[in-house]
Amino acid sequence: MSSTTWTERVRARIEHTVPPGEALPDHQPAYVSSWIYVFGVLTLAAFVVIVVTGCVLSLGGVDWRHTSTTGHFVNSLHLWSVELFFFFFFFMVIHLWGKFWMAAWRGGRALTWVTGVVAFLASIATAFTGYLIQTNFDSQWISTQAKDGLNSVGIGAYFNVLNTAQMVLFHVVLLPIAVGLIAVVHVILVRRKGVVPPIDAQEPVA
Amino acid sequence: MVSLVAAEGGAGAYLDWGVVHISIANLLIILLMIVVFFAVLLIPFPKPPSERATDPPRGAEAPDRAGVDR
Repeated sequence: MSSTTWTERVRARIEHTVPPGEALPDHQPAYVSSWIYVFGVLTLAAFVVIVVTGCVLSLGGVDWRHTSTTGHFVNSLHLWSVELFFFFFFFMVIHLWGKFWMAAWRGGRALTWVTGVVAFLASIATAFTGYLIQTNFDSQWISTQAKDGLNSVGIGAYFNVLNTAQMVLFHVVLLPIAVGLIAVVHVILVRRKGVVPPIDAQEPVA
Repeated sequence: MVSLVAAEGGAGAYLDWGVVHISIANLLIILLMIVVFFAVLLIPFPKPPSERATDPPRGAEAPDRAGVDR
């Protein structure tokens, strides 16, 4: 019987995408026993740290990170989560290299690869807008340098890096939601298509 | 020709090599990423304790662990 209401269709779609009992894995193919397969979930873990510290920072307000040692500490946690301490980009780039060299788009996984690429690009944009809203001389320098490049490609009127409020909106709301949603789609696709086997390895039978 | 330049005002040291202009900090991070990338390919992944106890003797045929992936 075909679904008649939109709620039934949505439920059928969800059950088709993630069948009951298959949301999280309990077995993986033998070839997943390699450290290179760890870096995707490490990137996700770093993303969680970034979101949590970002939420605390936004609750503190724009002055908190400049006037309070606790605020400065949380600000540093947020920054180094991206750069080094929790290695968001560090982990993501190693994940990208690993997947590139094993040609992870094989076996009908093109959309998984593409969503990963889009997540990477959206993460760069998110990090960039984060540097713009530090409210210090560094953010002034970066924004005045960036405006010329963005104006030269014709998007300065819509994405104005000198407008701090607009950049706060992009960094705190729009781009994190975009990165989060793309990451969810990416993980669902990995669950549906399975982890890509090494080149010349036999694909496990589901 | 490669040259090492220290920026004024303590902004860090930069490496200049033709069109390449990169801070030493960024260069070290990229080199560290390359080292970690090859390390994770070479360092063996630990087996869970249950599998370690039932390891076949060396030379014996390995059990088929290629199960379903979800």
